[in-house]
Amino acid sequence: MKRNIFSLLKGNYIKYTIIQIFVAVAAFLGLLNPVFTRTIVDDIITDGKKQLLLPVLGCMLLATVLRLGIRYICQMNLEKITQKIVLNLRRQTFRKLMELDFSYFDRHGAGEMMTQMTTDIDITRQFLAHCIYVSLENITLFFGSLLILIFYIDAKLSSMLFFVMPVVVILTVSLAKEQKEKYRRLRQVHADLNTVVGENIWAQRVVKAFVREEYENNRMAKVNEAFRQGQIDISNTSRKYLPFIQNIHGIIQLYLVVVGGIFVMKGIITLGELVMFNSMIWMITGPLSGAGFLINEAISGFASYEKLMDLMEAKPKIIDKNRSRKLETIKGKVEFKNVSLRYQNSQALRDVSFVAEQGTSVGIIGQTGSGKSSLIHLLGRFYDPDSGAVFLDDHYIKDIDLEVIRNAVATSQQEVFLFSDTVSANIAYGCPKATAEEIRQAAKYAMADEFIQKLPEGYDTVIGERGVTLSGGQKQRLALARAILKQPSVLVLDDTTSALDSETEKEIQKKLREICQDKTLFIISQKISSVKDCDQILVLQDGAVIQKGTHEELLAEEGGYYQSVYKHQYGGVING
Amino acid sequence: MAKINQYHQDEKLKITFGKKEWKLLFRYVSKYGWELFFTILVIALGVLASTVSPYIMKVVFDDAIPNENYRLLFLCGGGLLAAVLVSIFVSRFRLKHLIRVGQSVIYDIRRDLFSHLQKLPLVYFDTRPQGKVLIRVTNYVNSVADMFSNILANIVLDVVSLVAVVCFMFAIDVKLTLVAMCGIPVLYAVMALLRKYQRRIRRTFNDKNSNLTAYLMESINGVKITQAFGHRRKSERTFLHLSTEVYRYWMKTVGIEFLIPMATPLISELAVCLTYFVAISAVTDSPVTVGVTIAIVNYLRRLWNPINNLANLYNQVITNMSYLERILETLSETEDIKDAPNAYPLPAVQGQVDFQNVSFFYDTEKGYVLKNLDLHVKPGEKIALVGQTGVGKTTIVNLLSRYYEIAEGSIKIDGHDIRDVTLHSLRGQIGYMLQESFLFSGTVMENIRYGRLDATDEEVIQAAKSVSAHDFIMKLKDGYQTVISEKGGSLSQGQRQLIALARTMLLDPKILILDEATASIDTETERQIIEGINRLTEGRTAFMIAHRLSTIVGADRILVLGDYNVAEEGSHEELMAKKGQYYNFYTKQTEK
Repeated sequence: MKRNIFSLLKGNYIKYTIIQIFVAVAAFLGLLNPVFTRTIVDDIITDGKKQLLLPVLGCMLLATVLRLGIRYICQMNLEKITQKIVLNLRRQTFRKLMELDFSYFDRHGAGEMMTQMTTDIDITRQFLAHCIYVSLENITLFFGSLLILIFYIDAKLSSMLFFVMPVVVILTVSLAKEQKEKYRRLRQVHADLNTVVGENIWAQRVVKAFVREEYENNRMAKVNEAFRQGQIDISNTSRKYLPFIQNIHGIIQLYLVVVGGIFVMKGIITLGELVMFNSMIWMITGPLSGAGFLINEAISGFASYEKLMDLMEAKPKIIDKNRSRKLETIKGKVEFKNVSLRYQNSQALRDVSFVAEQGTSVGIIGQTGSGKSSLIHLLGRFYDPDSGAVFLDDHYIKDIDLEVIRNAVATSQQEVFLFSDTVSANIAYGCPKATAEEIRQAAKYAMADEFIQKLPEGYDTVIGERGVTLSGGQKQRLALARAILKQPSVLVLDDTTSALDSETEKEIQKKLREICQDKTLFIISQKISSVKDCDQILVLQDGAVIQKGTHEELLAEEGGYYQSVYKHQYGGVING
Repeated sequence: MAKINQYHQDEKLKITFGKKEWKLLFRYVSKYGWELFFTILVIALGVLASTVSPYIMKVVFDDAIPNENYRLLFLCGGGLLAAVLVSIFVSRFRLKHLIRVGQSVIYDIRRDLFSHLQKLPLVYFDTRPQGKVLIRVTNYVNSVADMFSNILANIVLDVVSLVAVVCFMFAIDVKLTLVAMCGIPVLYAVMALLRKYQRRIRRTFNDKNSNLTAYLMESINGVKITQAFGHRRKSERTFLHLSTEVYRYWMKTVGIEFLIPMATPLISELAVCLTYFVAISAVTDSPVTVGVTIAIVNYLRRLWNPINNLANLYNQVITNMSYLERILETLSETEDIKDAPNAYPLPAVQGQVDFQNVSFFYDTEKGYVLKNLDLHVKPGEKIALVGQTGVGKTTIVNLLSRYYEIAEGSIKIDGHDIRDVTLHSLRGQIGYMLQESFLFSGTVMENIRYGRLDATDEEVIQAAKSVSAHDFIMKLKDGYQTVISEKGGSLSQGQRQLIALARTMLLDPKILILDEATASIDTETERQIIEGINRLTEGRTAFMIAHRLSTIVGADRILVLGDYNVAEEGSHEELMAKKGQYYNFYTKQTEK
């Protein structure tokens, strides 16, 4: 069951209620003016009590000033409360984003999450601030006027209003029912819009390379049209109900003129009372005719809140157990016992077992999609295996605090994500407290110092999102520096050097060996040259380890995958 | 390279809302001009019809009731009934047409904005966070929809009803009307005072909001890194800081904007009191009937209602203008690289490529990247570009597809200067396999077909087979119909690269650029791919950027790039014999 939208107000209930009471008070003050009008007409004009004129006008002005003052204060406070709620929602959803598992992001696109964290939050707030406020104001006005009419003027004349009310309620409820699905759909189209535009901006290079501008325009045209249609659908439903709700005023006025006119002529009420009645029907019909708009707003608010809750209530599966052993650091021993992992679309790992002692190095080689990166993901516990277990320093990985694991394992990925920030901030991403000297040292190890120095502002150069202004090799070296600076116990190079020329790669490997004396090193690569010096090499195929051993041992296995790769990479060259 | 905008920096507004911008807006609206005109006309008639009702009430109060004239009373009732029916009809008409016009206008704006983005150079996207572009196309455009449906119509209507009311009032009593209207100049003065602050603060708020969006989008895209590097807390703090900024500026904005709906009722109430005062003082001097006074007061409310509305509308207009500014700014962003006025389509390419004396720099300050480069490639030749990271290998192939404009010299394909032919025909005939593999949400089939939209399923599968992607695709849950999540998230890097390769293969280009295209593919698959490429590139020109010797050795000619220019060139054997850079590079890679 979804949480109640009002639970967002938690901690502010009292303040919120007080504000809403004052909103009602302000609305009630608005009701006084017609009473004054009646005094002016009946007593001052008709009976000629001119001495009353100035006091009455003074009261009228005072009521207005009070009403507006209270309203302003209420609105500002309401705004403050609901904006604080927004702030809080943003913080919570963002925290959620930081906590959720990789598998969640594999399933949910950025466009959807963008929509949840921007538009949905805004619309939910709109409901709490505007929709409730106006509703309350309207309800007060309606019942206040009704009471005045009944007790102050004439019950018989006013009784007709009781027949009008249910009609409005029925119309409003039917409208709400019909709109619900339509607002949900519109909300979805909005997310699609974010996806199409987001992907397009992200993949501009492909769009341009394939000259697919027209195709993209068509893709856009589809969601754009869906969005327009969604809005038109909503307005079509409104068209069935709103005009009747809105024109309730005219109907009541008609009743007033005919029936009220007869009442006056028969002497049941005075002309002044009828005039007052006339000036008060605005207050009765105003709130009623606004009901249609409000219900649209409310339905839209619920649709967005529902989506927002989807994100808020998503539970990360990978969490610290309470009984986590207080392990402070990890030295670097890694063990996989019969580990299997399945993704949505395919089997990633099958029954993988191996042990890597602290300070040793493991090379992983295998075909595309053979599960190399999946294995690494398990190491940082970004996924949990479906069966089998991973051990770090002989502790079951699920018993170790996530933070400890993530501090101990650093991966430098092949596809590099950089943040739109300075070079040094990007390198220091894992340890914000690093000094300039430490950052530079890490960059030197990654052979990045030289090209960074050549950038216009050196380490302070701002690089764009995804570092598009850098070459592939430069980005990979930044990512490597980022991983090195963290001084992890387990360092993973996930095909990190694929875009580097072999000379640079050699140098980097030499330097890594220097700093990795007591660290466990994982090297994923396609190149034999990158892994051949490792203490053990795992050959993966279709998620299973098919060969395991040192370079020499594997080379000796006749007809093995390793040997054939070796022949391909070296054979042709050496013999030819 | 232009200055890079970051998430925490406000973007400077490059345009001012002037004549040109208004003209552009007018063009969007005028397309639906007739529908809008008729709708407003109908609504205006409705407003006029409803303006009659206070007059009817006056007749009721002054004549019908005092004279006990039942016939007149029912006649008035009939008049009111007619007014209600007209009003219901008008409401329906309005809902139908105004929403359609408004949504159609923003449909057009979004379409143009999006298609304009497609024409902008890569630099535009490289130098600003994606979120800042995104928010303009989605949220900003959505926001201004109301401007073209309700706001515009309401302004016209309120003005019409204002004029109508004023006419009626003058008809009843000139003096009282003048008194009633004396609040208007006061209101104008107040609004003018507030306006100055309001616009500025709205803009700042938008900037802060745009910053927040940019950071959010970057955080969503980079969430895996953030988690892996334990950067969570700091990211949360940054996000909180940006959100707080938005909160702060929002409170400032509404602090001013809420004043306007306060100011108008206050001024109008003052005007009403003043009118009563004058009217009642007048009652003693010359006979003003109760009916006239009531009618005046009724009209007074009707007079101030549209004025109140206009003041509120003004608020909304200011808000929307600040969004429109940004939208129009993007629309007026110039396309640096576009077809020459007399550009012709590049005829079917044979594959000859000539770089003559080409010099290039990204940024004058940073100096040349390439200088006086001469490169002549015969049709069908396979060229390998080798050199240290950052010497400009990718730059050369980027220039060929004309992603950047060269500073000096010329680049010709089959003797046609690439600046003389249409971009569409140029890029459409060059297959460019990028370092990063970008995939779209959709099926595997759709993603490969992106290369050639009219390809049959058979051809798509053939292309996948030629790059050895078929096997792994068949292992996916639904084969070619497997839906890839946004940005290809559910596939491994290597798998994405294979699909991207198949996409390029499907294009079947005469000139092929492989920019480290096989970097994350295992050597066995790579060998098969190269065989596939070799089959495909037979008689076609290919540029290959790679670090693996296996890829390089198969090339007809190897170019070793040094600073600014080609340092060495020749076949593998020639370069080995030369014992220069290539020799060093090569021996390092093969030594054991």
